[in-house]
Amino acid sequence: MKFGIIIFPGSNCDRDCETALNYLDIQSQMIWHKDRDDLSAFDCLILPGGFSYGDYLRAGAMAARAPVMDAVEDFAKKGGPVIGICNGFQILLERKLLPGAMVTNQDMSFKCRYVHLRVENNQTSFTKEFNNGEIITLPIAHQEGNYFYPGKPEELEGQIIFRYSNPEGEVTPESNPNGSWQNVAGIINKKGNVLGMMPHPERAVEPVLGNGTNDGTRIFISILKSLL
Amino acid sequence: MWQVEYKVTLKDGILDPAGNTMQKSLTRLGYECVKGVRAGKIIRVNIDAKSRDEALEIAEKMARDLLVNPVTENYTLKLKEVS
Repeated sequence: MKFGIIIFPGSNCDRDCETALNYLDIQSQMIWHKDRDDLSAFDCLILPGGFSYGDYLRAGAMAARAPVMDAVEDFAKKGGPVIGICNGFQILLERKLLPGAMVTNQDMSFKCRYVHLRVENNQTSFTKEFNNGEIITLPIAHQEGNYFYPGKPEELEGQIIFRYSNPEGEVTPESNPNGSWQNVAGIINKKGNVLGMMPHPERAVEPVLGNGTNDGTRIFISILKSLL
Repeated sequence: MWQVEYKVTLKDGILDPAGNTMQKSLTRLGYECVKGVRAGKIIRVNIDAKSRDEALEIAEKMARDLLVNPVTENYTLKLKEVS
């Protein structure tokens, strides 16, 4: 079992992902953004957080067109699991592997804190270790996490995986840290093998980092179990 | 040589935090007449092309390929010959 972690210029959560995977005894390998090699030897690909290409033009816009992304798209089209975290989510949107787009947080400010998320769909290879409606806690750290979708919620039936909620699990405007449409924190593609999420599961794996939560662990374990 | 100037703006209905922040500041400065501010960006690209038509075709392709996200943004472009 081997996970690949894509590094773009400006990625800064690549090692966090590697460390979290090490902690879970999952082998991983870094993949440079200029590589064009076939990625089918990997079992899962991670697009980590950061500020790829300085977030110039639009967050994720340049990285989505980097040489490595042709192979990432091939991998995804063949059904391989791909998870984009934070900037990785923005890259997947810009690459059109996920629907919608990301704009600046409603109040223009960088949000760095823990949030509550309601698990909306546990019938995916990324969330099978959760219960539907379960409230989990993960950290966010972004300024461009205001998810926008130009259509009706029904069009994304089953694709909204995590929504920002309060500790009681109510999806309210007050619990929405960035103004995201429908409080979306994470979505999946129709096929179910590409997940994008703004919160950082890799920062909530090791007890020393998670500030009391290790809810990120179950995302990686879910992926592992679905690959077995 | 041709210079294309793109004007990229957020679509109506897309929240524009930068515009909203400027509007608040203008109102605070006493410009109560200000009823809306929308921000955008200008991108100038110099293109080596044989003709105006070719430059225009390249310019529109570049907008689709990278410079504009059609989910959230609109654009217009102007083309002029430069030396």
